[in-house]
Amino acid sequence: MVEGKDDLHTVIHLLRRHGLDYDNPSQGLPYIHATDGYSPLLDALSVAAKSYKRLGVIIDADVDPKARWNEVRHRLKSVGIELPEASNAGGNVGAGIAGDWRVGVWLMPDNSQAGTLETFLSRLVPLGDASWPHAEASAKEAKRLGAKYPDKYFSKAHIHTWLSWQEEPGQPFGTAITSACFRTDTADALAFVAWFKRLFLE
Amino acid sequence: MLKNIKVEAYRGFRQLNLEGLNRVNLFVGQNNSGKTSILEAAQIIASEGNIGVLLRSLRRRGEIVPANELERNVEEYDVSHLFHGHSMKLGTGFKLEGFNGKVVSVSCEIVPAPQDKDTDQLPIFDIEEGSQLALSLRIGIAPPVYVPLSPFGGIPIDTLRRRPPGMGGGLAVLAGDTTEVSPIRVVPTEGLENRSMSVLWDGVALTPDEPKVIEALQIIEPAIEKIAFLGREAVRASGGIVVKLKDSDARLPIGSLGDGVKRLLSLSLSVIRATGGYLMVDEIDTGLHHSAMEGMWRMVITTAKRLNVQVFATSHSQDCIKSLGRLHQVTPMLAAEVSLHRLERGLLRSVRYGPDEISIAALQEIEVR
Repeated sequence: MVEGKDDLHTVIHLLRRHGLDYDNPSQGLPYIHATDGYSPLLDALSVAAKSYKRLGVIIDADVDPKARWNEVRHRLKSVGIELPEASNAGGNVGAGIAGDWRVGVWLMPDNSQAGTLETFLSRLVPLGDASWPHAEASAKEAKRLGAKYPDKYFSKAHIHTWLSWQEEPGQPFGTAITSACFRTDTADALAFVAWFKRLFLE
Repeated sequence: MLKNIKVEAYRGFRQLNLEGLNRVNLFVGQNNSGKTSILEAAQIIASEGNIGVLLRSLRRRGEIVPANELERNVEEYDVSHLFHGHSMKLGTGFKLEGFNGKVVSVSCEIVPAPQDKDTDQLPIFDIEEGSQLALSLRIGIAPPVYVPLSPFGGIPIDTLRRRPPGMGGGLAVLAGDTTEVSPIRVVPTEGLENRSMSVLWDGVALTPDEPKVIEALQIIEPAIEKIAFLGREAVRASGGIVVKLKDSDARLPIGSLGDGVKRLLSLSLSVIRATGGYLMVDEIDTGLHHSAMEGMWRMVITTAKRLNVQVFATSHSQDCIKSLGRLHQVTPMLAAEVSLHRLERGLLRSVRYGPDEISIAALQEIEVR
């Protein structure tokens, strides 16, 4: 379960770059369900944990990763699933409600720092990309000139500004991963793919 | 109303606890996860140990075998299937327990057949020549009742017709005080035969419940105005049950309106005639299009609430569960009467979903089957 469509497409395209292809049914990849934000996902968590033998949850750590981790932990505890007190940096995989059931949690960007999907993606921007800091400055300047995006969406504005300057301008996140605007071999990306494999494929 | 049920070594279950039972309980799970066994267990507990219930379950499942190779026309109930692991060893047994304000426990064990000299003291059926083993049935702490097993390990079909002396009330009443037992209605997957529905109808005709039955049928066919059960001569042509539609003078056999209408008739008659008792429905969605399911639930839950009936039902269908979720969004008061249990192999308790969780599952399209 993920918080929205951006997360869903990011996951699908990132996995494809690592050989896990959602267009290939024989790989048996799990269905990804996008809720409409964090709060409905949290409400559905206990129901999903009781229903799926393998459940992975990808959420934004947001401003307070500890608080978010505790919210998730608390919901899962209500159905008898125990997660450690602190989130594991490599992603979390624990036992589900029955013998071979598993529940996994990934906090964007890296299970410990504050941030969102966009933080995760910003770390996939090629090192030394000259337009990246320029996009940051432009987004700030646009805000100063009256652009309407709320402050909390700055990193979203930043990343979309940058994407609008790529060879094919304005691609959504997923497509931009596939067309190699983003790197897919950073430590975060590799840790994420390893977490996914550990949870669903082992 | 049963609040919880505990099953030990019965059929496919080594052990299973069902907690948080509600007015209406829907059981889901994979094939062979034991949904039907749970309906039976609930029925045995609700009937406080009626052996007729046990034997009917064997009959319904076709667990009747020829007694031996030579006499293929002599049949007996093959009771081995009642026991976990199909074992028929001495000491094998199962136990069913429920709480409905008081603890009701029913246990059944394979014991050495009591000897003749004991029969004056014990309620016992005729001992067959060569009987080594017997079933001992025990309700609560009452003395057990013995049913001798044939040399082949079954219960000869005619055993229960030869009631032990001093035991009135038919084969249903074996032990304990069963005069207070509540009515139990069962609707199997294939629905009720017209004849059975006719018997149920006798208690409904011209009572304030009659219009409620018509309303139930109108969930699928709003034009149905009246229903009648015919006498013998007309039975061949119409199946015995006919309806009249608005703006039509013809009387139509109920079968001509499709399986759904007949299913709703089975359900509405059964829930009404289970007043103060229990309704068991195997695959409650059978024959119903998904558009009719919310109406079916509304009818079943409303009636169960009004007439103090507890419902146990099974289903395979995601639409059936989804329709409960929709009901929760429209009429949360009704949906609050429902709990859903998934039977999961290897777990000692059912995976239970309360009304809010059923609604979330429907909303987020989470498959709870």
